[in-house]
Amino acid sequence: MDGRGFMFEMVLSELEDVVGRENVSISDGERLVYGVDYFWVGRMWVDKGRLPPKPDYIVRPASAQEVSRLLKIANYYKIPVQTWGGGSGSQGSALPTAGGIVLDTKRMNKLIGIDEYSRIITVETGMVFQRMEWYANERGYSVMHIPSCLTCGTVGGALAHRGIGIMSTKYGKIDDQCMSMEVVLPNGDIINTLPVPKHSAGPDLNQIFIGSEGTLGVMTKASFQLFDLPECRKFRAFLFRDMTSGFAAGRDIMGKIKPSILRLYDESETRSIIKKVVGVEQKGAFMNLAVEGIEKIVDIEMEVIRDICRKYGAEEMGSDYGEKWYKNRITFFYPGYTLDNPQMFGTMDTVASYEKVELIYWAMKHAIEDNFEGVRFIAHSSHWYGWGTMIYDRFIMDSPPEDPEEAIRLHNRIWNAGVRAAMANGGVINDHHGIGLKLSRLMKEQYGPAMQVFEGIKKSLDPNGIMNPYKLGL
Amino acid sequence: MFSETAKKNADACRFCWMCRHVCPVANSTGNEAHTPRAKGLLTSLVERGSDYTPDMAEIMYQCCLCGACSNDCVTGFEPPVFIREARTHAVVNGYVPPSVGPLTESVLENGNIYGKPASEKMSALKDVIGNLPQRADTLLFVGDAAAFRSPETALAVMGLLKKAGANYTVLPDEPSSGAEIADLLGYTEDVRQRAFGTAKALSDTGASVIVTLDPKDAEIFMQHYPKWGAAFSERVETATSCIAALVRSGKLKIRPVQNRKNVTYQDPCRLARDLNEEAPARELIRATGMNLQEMFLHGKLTKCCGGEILREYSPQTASLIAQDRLFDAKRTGASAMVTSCPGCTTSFRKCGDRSGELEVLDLFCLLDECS
Amino acid sequence: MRFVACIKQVPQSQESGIDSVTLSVRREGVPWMISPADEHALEEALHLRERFGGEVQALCMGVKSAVEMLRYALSLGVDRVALVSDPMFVGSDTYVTARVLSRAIEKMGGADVILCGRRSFDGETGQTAPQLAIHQNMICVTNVIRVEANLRGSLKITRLADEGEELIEAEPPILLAVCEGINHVRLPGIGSMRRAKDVPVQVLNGEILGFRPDEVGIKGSPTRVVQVERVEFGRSVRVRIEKDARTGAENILERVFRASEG
Repeated sequence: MDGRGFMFEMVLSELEDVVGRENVSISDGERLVYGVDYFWVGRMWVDKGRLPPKPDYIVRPASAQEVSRLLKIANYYKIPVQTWGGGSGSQGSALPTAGGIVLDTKRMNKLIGIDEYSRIITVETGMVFQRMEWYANERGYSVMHIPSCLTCGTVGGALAHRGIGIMSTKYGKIDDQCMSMEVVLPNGDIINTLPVPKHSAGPDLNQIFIGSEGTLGVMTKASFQLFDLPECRKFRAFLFRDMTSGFAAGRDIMGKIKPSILRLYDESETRSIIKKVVGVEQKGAFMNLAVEGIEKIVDIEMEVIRDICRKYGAEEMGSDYGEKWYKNRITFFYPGYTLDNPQMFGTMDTVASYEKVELIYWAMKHAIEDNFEGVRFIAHSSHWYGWGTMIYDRFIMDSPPEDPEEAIRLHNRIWNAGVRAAMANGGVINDHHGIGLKLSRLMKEQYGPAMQVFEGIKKSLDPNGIMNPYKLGL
Repeated sequence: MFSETAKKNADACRFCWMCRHVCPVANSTGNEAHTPRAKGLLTSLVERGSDYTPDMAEIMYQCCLCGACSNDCVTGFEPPVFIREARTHAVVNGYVPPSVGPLTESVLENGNIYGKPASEKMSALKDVIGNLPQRADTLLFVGDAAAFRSPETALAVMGLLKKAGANYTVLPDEPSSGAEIADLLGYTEDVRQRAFGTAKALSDTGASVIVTLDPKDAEIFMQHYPKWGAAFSERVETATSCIAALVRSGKLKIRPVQNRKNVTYQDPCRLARDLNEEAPARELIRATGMNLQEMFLHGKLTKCCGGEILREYSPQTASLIAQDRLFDAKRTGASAMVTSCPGCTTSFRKCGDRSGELEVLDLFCLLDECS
Repeated sequence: MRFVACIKQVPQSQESGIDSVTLSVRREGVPWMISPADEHALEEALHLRERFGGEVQALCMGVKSAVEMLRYALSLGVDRVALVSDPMFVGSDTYVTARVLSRAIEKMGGADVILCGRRSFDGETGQTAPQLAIHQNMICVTNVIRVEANLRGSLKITRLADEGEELIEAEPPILLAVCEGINHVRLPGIGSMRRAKDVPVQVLNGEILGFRPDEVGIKGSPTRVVQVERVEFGRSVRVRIEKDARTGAENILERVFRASEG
């Protein structure tokens, strides 16, 4: 949207008419704020004093009805619309890279209701996730979706990128936990998916919008399963000789039990952790897990786990580490602990079957460490299934190029190398952070001819292509 | 433009979102620009060459300085540090938003934010003050919020002190503590110079204990006056602490109420977070025989009421904040919410529950009725 | 009266490091502060201006980024500021520093009272102030904890001595090296911050001050840092639990007397 001339003002008046003057922002100060999310490139850019991408308008609707009217206006004038929840995404999905409108969902933050008998909570999607969790906790429940962005991302954001929490191994990913939602389509129609998910009335409508990252519409309400708070949660840690035995043990465990937390660290990460635990450096692969639920059952499950781990030659490391880790897990994301500028870093999470996963780990490690000087690679597996597990692998470069443009180019080369190594060996381009801007260019490579299904849906729902351009490869 | 400490905090906060869930302003307006991190981001951009503009200044005033963000930060960073400095620069550059302008002018001229001459401050209390001695062991510092907006809370505290037989007095020309100026202008020499005057007025009473009704005043007296060199008496005590001690020692007798209610208690943000005080008010509520039902987020996790100052220039936002907190209170099943800070008392009465389901009870008024 | 305060910009943390090549303190790109004693010297200068009238100048010898610190000084109400900076000054010892500061003071119009901190936060030699006094041909009073005006118009100065306080009466020209406890520093004020916006920071380099490169810096310094090392104090600790405080205190005293005897 070219801001020159009076057309800017004409559109502004229409937007103000929908949400009220105080809920449309055009000031420079506010626009700057929406140009940076958790995407490394954007942060590095402003750290070097460069200006971030800016939207023309920021609108804050309070209801699905207002969203509907806004999208109709955007479609009429063919103005891009980027949906912004917490802006805490690491892939740049919320950034206003196409200018136009940023639709900040956070005024839609009400609790709609809790159906305790059915264990279902319904909220507006602009609610910060922690606040929904608090409403559940108040009544003795939990949504059991505990990501690191719990206190910063919105409910809508978690759905938009198909997020995961540390206890997903037992309680599922967000797409398992979401029951139903209300979505405003790009043409302004307000739709509801079915009240419960496990039906046989056609394809699952929820799953079309979950993970769509704002490209197919705006989610305005959502319902989630509630879980009773467990009677107990018990931690245990083990040190395996190597990752291979760790993976094998994990696979066996998953055949019998669903721990709530299961984390296997590669040799590099193990070296730094194990020193904190036992005070000396020791080689191997560290595993930290937790089982929770009814105590009697938890104790039996823990015994089964210990047997399995013993079978694979693991050393027992007690429960202290796990408890401390759980208590301090969020500390790692606060300034001073977290990775930050001037370092370059990224999480290239991927997920695969047990057959492939270790191969992928080594392929990615070599792809990064062998080809890029000064870059190190560390990984752990923290979300497990009966069929496989994911790798939460990070690359870290302590001294990236000073020049921001060079840094971006290097950053993208590293990403291509790592992600392609995963794809080449049966992995996928992302496990739970989403695609956003960062991996948009790799979607077609990943899907091949299957991409036309998404393109078809996109074209049908959003013929003018206004919803979050440049993202998700759509 | 910003101090090294402000820069360090801004650089830490600019890319971090972790305290977003507790910011009362951002959660009520839903505006990303009102989050602590947005203010950090803007500060960091100014330090890297962007101009400091009036609309950035406007954003810096959308904050109640309640400290929820600092309290949440596991690694000890404090957004209020750069927010206050940004406000100082707003004043210096003439960028104070139009809605805030009258308050900053008023506070520099009169000491209070209400545009009233300083001489009018104690007018609602002057009859009672007239009967008090000029010098006493205890000085009750009423504070601007109570004096101008809820004098009945001050009268209640005075009534309680009298019933306890305390040797106390109140300054008939009570100056401002400077807490309001500090919030609007940041910690500048203008606040510090006024602090000297106030400190002298306090010392001249010969009191050995200053009892403050407003936690804001206690905080500035205890945590800033000493390091500025504005020394006064031996001890500062909050009114809740003081009255609780009188009840504990038996000097003040509280009768249980006739009709017991389920009540909940609103921890004032500065009392719980800056002054680490939670227990005395709860002791007092129990003494009245009311059944206390805690809100899920209480103590240091309490939510600000919107605040006296924000309410004056952003009444809509303050109202949304108060309503969110009242929703918390209603969910406890209580029929009344007890407040112990004049800012909270007025905020919830003025901006709050329209349905009449929840009564707002000032703790001191309640105690005065029960003794 | 003309008051000149010499203020040094130092790293906030004593941990910021020593440059292994020059063996001098790393200054660029680390969070800075005004050397605490110098902050109090500056405050005292402002205080004396309020008593006697006149002008306060703040002078800093340092890296280019020290301009920020001088801007801060202006926001406190200082009238004029100057930065003495030149690559040729890098590595100057206290003697050369004092010489350079002295010439800068002359260039800025001279001083009746010069105020310095008694020692800097990073170097801690305490030498620069007395050396500056010599160059300026002034009386030097160190470890000052109080300055009062005398009825006769001279200064009544209290200084910390080894065994108590000393009272000195003196008249300008004079250099005072002050202790941190002499006063409470003020904060920037809205009025001074506004006035400060229009005041330029004068930069005085080697050429303006008339120095040759071989007269200053490492080359021109009669002393140089040979080695910097960290000293660890070892102490063995013994814990004794006594039945009460009196007994404990008596036991400790007995040990102290025994130790001091031989």
